[in-house]
Amino acid sequence: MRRYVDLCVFLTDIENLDKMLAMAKHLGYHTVSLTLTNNNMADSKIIDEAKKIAIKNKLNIVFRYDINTENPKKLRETVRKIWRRYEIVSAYCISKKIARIAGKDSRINILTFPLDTSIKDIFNDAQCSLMKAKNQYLEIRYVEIAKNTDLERRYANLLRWVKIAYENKIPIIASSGASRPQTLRSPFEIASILTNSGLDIKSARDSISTIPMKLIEQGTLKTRGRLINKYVKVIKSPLCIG
Amino acid sequence: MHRLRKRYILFDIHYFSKPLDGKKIFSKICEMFKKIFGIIVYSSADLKLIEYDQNLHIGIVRISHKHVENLRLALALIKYIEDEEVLFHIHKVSGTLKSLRKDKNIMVR
Repeated sequence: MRRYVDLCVFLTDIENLDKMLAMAKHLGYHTVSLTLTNNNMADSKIIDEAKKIAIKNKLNIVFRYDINTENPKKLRETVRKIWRRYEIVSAYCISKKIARIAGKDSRINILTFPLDTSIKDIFNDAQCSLMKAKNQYLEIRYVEIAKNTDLERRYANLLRWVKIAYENKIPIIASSGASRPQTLRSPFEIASILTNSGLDIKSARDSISTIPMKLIEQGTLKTRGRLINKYVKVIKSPLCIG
Repeated sequence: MHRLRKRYILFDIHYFSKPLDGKKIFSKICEMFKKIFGIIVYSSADLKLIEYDQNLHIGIVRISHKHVENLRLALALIKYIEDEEVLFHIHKVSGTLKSLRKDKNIMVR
């Protein structure tokens, strides 16, 4: 049986979180990734509270940090600071420069591109080869598609990027990108965005279940200090003798 | 002539303040479907509202079996109906009304 994952639910305020997680459970999610950004950093108290709410709603949660900056130096600094603390690290690539730098960094797991962008070739074969070398994923967010402005450009970019990612064998992740319970959508509805963009039903459903789950498993190993890099994993600690 | 295959879709709708009328909901679904896929696809989809329970806010729509994924997308993209924020959730897709009504009864219970 598939276990569905919403890999991008923004943690904006703790009062809304209970409703949000209850709705996610109702819609059929098994795991939700609570996403923090530069603008909404949460302290350890809020994180503990979020864990309690998740247990109450019988939902698994992981934490993700989404870096949203135009400054390459700030991007590198932030990655260095946070990558061991969060299961998943992602970058929102506003410019081509940020996209290329993030694509070269193996500590960043997911790249997201603004669908309404007019920058030519922000996501192309060259970007894909960088991402493939660093085992990165492409993320498509529902909230980006559901915005009512510039629909033609959004769909044109979506169709083109899904095709490029599929041809270059870059794994695609679909998520809601919700910051309120009203903007959550069920996993099948989110998968339908990809099926209508040219992916087959199985691949579209994998992009909200098995693919993000694999990433979460890797991330959990990383935060527990059991993953040194993508090739080196600690299987057993040495025995302390004497 | 080849008989068109149909699918029945059981959905529920979450609205966050006032209840909505079934006709308005269905006209919004049609409007969104036309906006995304165009009139030709809409007319071949053979979309019809079978029933809608305003108290339980559960409904059933019928559509051609080729356009189920299109309807999912159209429902996902509906954010507002008459300035009211809504969330559609498809519970089950079935080939017969009988099995869908059985599921609906289980849901209600």
